[in-house]
Parts: sequence; C-alpha cells; structure tokens
Amino acid sequence: MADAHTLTGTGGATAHAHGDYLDDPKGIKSWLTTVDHKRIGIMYLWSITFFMIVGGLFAMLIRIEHLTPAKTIMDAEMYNRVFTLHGAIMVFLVIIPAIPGSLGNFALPLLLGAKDVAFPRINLMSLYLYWIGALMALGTLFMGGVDTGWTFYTPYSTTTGGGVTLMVFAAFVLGFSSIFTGVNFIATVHKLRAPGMGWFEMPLFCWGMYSTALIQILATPVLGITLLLLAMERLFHIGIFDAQLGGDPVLFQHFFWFYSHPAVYIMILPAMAVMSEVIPVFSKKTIFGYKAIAFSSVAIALVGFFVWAHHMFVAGMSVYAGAIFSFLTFFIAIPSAIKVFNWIATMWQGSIELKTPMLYAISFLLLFTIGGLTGMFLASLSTDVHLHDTYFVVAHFHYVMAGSNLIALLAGLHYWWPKMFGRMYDESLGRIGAVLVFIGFNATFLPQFVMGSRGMPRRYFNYLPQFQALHVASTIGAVILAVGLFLTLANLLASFRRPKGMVDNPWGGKTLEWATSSPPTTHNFEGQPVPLHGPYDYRPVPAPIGSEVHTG
Amino acid sequence: MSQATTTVQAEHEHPPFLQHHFTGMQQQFDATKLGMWLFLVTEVLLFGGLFVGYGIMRAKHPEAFMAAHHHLNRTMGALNTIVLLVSSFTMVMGVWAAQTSRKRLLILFLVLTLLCAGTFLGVKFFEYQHKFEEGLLPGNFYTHQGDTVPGQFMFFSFYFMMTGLHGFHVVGGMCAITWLLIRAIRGDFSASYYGPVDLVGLYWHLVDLIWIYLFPLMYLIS
Amino acid sequence: MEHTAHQHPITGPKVYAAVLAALLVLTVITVTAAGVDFGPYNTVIALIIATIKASLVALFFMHLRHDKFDAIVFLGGVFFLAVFLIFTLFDINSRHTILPSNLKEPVKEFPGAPLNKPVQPSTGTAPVAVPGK
Repeated sequence: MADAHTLTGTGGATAHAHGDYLDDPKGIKSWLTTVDHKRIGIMYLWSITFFMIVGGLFAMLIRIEHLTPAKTIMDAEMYNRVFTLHGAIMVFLVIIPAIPGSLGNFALPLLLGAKDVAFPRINLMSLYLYWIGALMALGTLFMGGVDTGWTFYTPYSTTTGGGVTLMVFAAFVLGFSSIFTGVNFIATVHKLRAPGMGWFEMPLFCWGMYSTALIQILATPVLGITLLLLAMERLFHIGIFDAQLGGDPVLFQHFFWFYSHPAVYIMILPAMAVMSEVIPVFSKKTIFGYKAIAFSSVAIALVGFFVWAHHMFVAGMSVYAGAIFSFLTFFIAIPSAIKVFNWIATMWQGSIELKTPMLYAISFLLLFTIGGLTGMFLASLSTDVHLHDTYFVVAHFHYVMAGSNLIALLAGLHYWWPKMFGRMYDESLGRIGAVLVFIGFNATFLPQFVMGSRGMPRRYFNYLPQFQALHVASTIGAVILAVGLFLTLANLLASFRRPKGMVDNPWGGKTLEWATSSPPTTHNFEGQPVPLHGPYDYRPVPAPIGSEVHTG
Repeated sequence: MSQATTTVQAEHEHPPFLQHHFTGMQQQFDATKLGMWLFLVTEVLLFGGLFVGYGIMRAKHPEAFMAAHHHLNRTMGALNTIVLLVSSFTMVMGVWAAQTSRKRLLILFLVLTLLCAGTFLGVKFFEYQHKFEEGLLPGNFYTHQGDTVPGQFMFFSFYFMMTGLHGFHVVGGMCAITWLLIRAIRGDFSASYYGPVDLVGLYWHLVDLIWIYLFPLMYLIS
Repeated sequence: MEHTAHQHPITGPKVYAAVLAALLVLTVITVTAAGVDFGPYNTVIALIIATIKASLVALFFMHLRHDKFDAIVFLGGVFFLAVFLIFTLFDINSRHTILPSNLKEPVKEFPGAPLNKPVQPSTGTAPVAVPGK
C-alpha cells in the first residue's frame, strides 16, 4: 500500500517496507544505528537478559555463602561486594529498565497504532546511555568493587574505598537513560495515539507505561543530583552529607529515597501494565474496571511521591515525620488492591486458558499480594522497629521487585514473543518453567520472612546457627529458581530453530499490535491503523468506539 | 472478527522537515514541544535538588552563609542578571522573527543572544578567577584565611555546584543556538517551520529562570 | 488540544520589550531591597520578586499563558519539588526535640576550616535530649 509518510527520514531503508523488522535491513551496523523502537526494544531485552544472568550469579554466590553460618566460599569483604553488585546490577541495570526498555519500547507504539515512539533518536540514545552506564558499573569490578550496598548510604559511602565514585556515575548515566525513556513514552502516549483512540480506548499497558514515565521524569533527576552531590562529597568533601562538617547524613537518605521509593513503582507499574494485557486475553473477557485500573496506575505514581521516608523510620528521622509517612504509606495499598481485585474480577467467569503467560500472571497475583501485604507490616511504625534491616525486608522487596517485576517480564515476554520474533516456543516446557520459577521463588523467599521476623539481620556475613535450616532451604529454593529460569531461557531460544511466520495472532488478542503481521514490518502497520472497537472487546460483535473511525 | 483495524490514506504531500513517524507537521510540533517541556521539568527537578540542599544547609548555618556571600561581587552578579534577561529577550525576539519569516532578523537576534551568553560566561570567568585566587573553593579546597565566621566552605560548595551546573547549561544553550544559527543562515526556518527555534528558546528561558533564583540566593543574602 | 498550538496570536515585539523592561525594573528593586534591613523578611521578599520575574518569563517568553497543558506539566514539576522540600524540612525541623543528632543549638565546635585541620567530633559535648520513645 502506498504510504506517503514513509518517503523520508531514514534514507533507503524505507523503500522496501514489506520485509519484517528483524531482517530488513540486515547487518549489525543497521541494528546499532537503528531508530526503530522494536529493534531498540530487542537490544534492551538481550542486554537485560545478560545482566540478569550476571546479577543472578551474584545472588547464587550469596546463597551459597549462607549455606553455613560462618565462612563458606568467600570472606566478609568479598561478601559485601557481592551483595552490593547483586543489588546495584539488579536494580539499575535489570529491574528499572526491564519492562519499559524491552517490552515497553517494543509494544507501546504498536498498541497505540503508531509507527514509532515520539523521539526515536533519543530512544536510541537511551539505549547507548544504558550500555555506557552498564560498562561503568562493571568497571567498578576492576577498582576493588563497591561495598556500600546499592543504596550508597552516607557516611559509609563517602569514606569507604573502591569504585564507589564510578558506580555512582554509572547510576547517574543510567538515570538519564531512564529519563529519556520516560520523556519518550509520555510524548508518545499524548501525541501519537491512532486516530479515534481516546484516552480510555488505549490498552491499559499504555496507562501503566504512562504512569511509569511520570515517575521516571519527576523522580530520576533528583537521583541524578543526589549522586552528583555524593560524588562531590567524596571528591571535595563539600560537607552537605558529613556531620563533622556541619552537614546531615540523614539528608542523603531523604535525597536518595525521594527518587528510589518512587523508583520502586517504576519497577511495579510496568509489571501491572503487563498484567492488564495478559489477563483479559487469556480470560477471553473484557477487563473489569478499566477506568479503576487506569486511574489507580496514575494514583500509585503520584501517591508514591509522598511516602519515601518510610525507609528511614529508624534512621534518626523525626518521629512526627515518621508518623506522617507511615500514615501516607498505607494509601498506596488502596490503588494496589483495586488493581488486584479488578484482575481477579476479570478472570471471574472468563474462559481461562492456562497458557504460559497466564500461569505467570497468576503467579504474579499471588506473589504481589504476599509482597504487598508484608509491606503493610513494614509501613507500620512500631512493627518496623522490629523488622527493619532484617531478612523480612529482603523477602518483602524481593516479592514486590523480583517476584512481581521479573514474573511480569516473563509473562509479557511469553505473551509477545510470537509478536517479536514470529516464532512459538514449546508450550509445555514454558509451563514447566513457569511452575518451577514459582516454586523456586517461594522456596527462596518464604523462609526469609520467617528468618527476618525472628531477627536475622540483612547484609550480615555470619549468622547464628539456629537460622541455618532456613538459609539452606532458601538456597535450595534459589537453585530451583535458577533451573526454572535457565529452562525458560533455553525454551525461548530454542524457538529460533522453528520456522518463522506462524499465525499473526496466536492468542486472539484484540489490541492493535495483533492487527499487523508477526513479526511486524519496519513501519509496524501498512498505513495508519484505526481501532474499530475497544482493546478488550471479546464479544462476538464488538461495539464500535466512535463514528469517526469509519471514515477510513 | 479478524479485522480489528482499517487504514486511513495519507491525504497531503510530504513537507520537507517532517520525520517519517509523524502524520503531519502539527503532530510533530506538538509532540516535540511536549517533549521539551517534559525535559524542562526534569531540569527543574535536577536543579531543584540543589536548591533543596542549599535551603536546608542555609537554614542550618545562616551566619556562615551570610558571611560567605560577602565574598561575592554583587555588581557582577547584577550585571550578569541583566545580561541574561536581555538574552532571553533577544531569544524570544528570534522566535518571533522565525514565526513571521524574517530571516535576517532571526539571524541578528540569534547572534545577539550568543553574544549575551558569551558575556555572561566572561563575567562568570572573572568571578571564578577571583574565587580561585582567594581560596574561596568548595569543601576541603577552601583555603581562605582570616574568617571570623566558621563553616563558610559550605556556601562555596553550593556556589560552585549551582553556578557550575548552570554554567554548563549556558554552554549547552550556546551550542544549541549555534546550531540554530547555521540552520537559520541556510534558510530552514519560516512561519511554517520554526519548531527548533521555539524549543531552544524554551530551554534558554529556563536557564534564565534558574539564574533568576540563583541571583538573590547567592548574591543578595541579608 | 491537538490543533491549537499554531493558532495562537503571535506575541509581538512591543509586549516582549515591555516584559523585558519590567524584568529589569524588578532586578533593580530586588538589589535595592537587599540593601534594606527587613529582618527575616529579606529572603522572603527576594524570593517573591524572583517568583514574579520567573512568572513573567514563563508566561510571556515561554508562552505559557497560551499553553495551558504545558503550564500544568511545568507546575507539576514545581509541585513535586515543593513536596520534596516541605517534607524534608518538616523532618529536619521537628527532629531536634527527639534525637541528639540534630540539636536546635548550633554545635559549638563546628569546624572553621575544612578537613585539613583536625576536627572534634560534634556530638557528645552538647546537651543531649534523650529520645522519648
């Protein structure tokens, strides 16, 4: 079909727009210089997979070390570096960019019926900044590592040696990568929706990405300046975070958590966004409470800015401030619960197909509920005095960060894999992987709740012998989890041995990305797509969303 | 229900500066403008972190900040404020010239803006030079002798971080204006296409806006 | 919203010149006001004048008076910055009654020069308010 809009901009690549985006044009240079959101998403996906393996290896080292109460395979200093790198890599290089960078970049324009994100070159720059930041983070390995934990708390982080400054600049660069993604997504959602697609005809994934992008824009710059101040404190002793010079180390925690608490919602909102796509498709039913889910995403993003100091209840903060932040923190539970209830109501009386993505989605509901409810314990001032800095916290945030974000990434990956590569993975192996991941995850982290509530402190190298059984159980769980993840990875990679070009819409999805070929062409659609019905309209005769859409 | 979509045919010719993924100049203008405003929000929060740090440390050590700011040259600060305000005016006049397709005026105003920016940096250079000579430097590089009020290094930590970061933004703005100038001389801009001038203008005004706050907070403590 | 930006009346040089004049006058006022002792209100006055100047720049030079949505975006950023400042200040100003780490009295051995001189630890000698948990 002749499309007058494809004639300029990227040179000759657009002349033959009928090849799929993976092969047209070929060559590594064409990938590295691409501005195609799908290719950038794929490159993000492989980068994130790589760093997830690296971060996972560090996690396995931690778990192996804890098989015995004293030294098992490494000394205490090495242990500090290993858990710091595990945390920093997993947070800054994996979880924060995971879903927005890979699935978001790939799917958001497709779901909106757009040809690309609003600023394709800035999108590519975001990927390059990610790579630069990643190289800097790995570079710290050659500078003696970092032993501060991923939170870089002062005064320890301003006095310890090693590569803290480099790691701080790495996180600074990664922050800008995140900001560019956020700017892109907001502008894309505002301005590049298909004609006739109003705000409430958007798939809910777009609402989730939009809310995530709000946080990326509003919070990440503060992280940037925080890390800059920290680096200056290390290099010049400027005094702001140093009590001896008249500064305030707790102020660093305010600065850090003003970003990093909303960043927790950068991790969870995209996961929720994926759920809102996967659950209706495999329930063959309209999403229940569209507007409630949409607005609760925005609510989580905005309320998330009022709760950061709940990380500081025992840090020497004013108890009055603590009481207020504790109170405000409970408000986060409301939109989160609204979402869970709506997803369950969506599944109710649907014709549920327990395909791999749906198994992950159900795992998500369980894990997120556990993670969310244990968060309430920690939000309460008095119980937090007992539970803070114990394995209870570790287990809680792994349930909401890894258990939810990672599981949702896997759900979305299995859901969109045929769209990304035009190939289908082995369904039964996929299901086995999903079950193994679920079992392994719970076996790893449920014992940690128990340990934590009994007083096992986090980040400790040694522990009392009475915790050994639970630590060993946790390590066994980690092994199961690792096996499940590698099986899943192998299963997905094995799909490349199958022929390309299966059915375009294997799940019967109603959103726009399924209306084009799998894999899509470079320009996503032939001409400008216009949605004819709502994104989750599974009725035999869907209702048209507006009269103007028939003009095409 | 296999067909979820239909297609809309493109109905007009392709303008020269339209990127392929936008459906028209209006969409491109709106999207890039929104993108610029979002970027400005991130800038506000980036500088905002420093302002918050400044405010808290000043509230903690009012005497030190009071004493330290006397080392700054108020005349130079006021001069730079005026230079930057005038540059904002010339920039917005440049936008107006582009909107009304006045190519030579656009070039003139962009050059004037660049000159103002250069003047600003020149004045800043002399101020910094003076601070270096006196040892009025951040953190443990502070070597100024004869202080009666302790802790003045903290003020200079913030002075250099805030004006330094602002200075980087001025340099960035000058690069962007130079790019505009090249394109303006080439004749790219007119009433039908002036987006880049508008966007760089927005950025330049934000740089001005930050200085509007920096000036009283640094030079006019009393 | 999609089709409004180009249809705004183009603001002309006269308005811009008037705004510049106002900005310059305000600059003179703020410098003059800094020379007068208003006690604790000097900073407040300086910030109010700065905010008026910033509003003029934003409304006229940045065209926010025609651009409602972008104005909301921009003010949203300022709002969250204010949230950050206010809550952090609240913590810091309500801490002193509770913990010794932030006493209302300035710490006496606050160092005059940075790290190249020996520095006393700053807690311990000052009167300690015992936390009332």
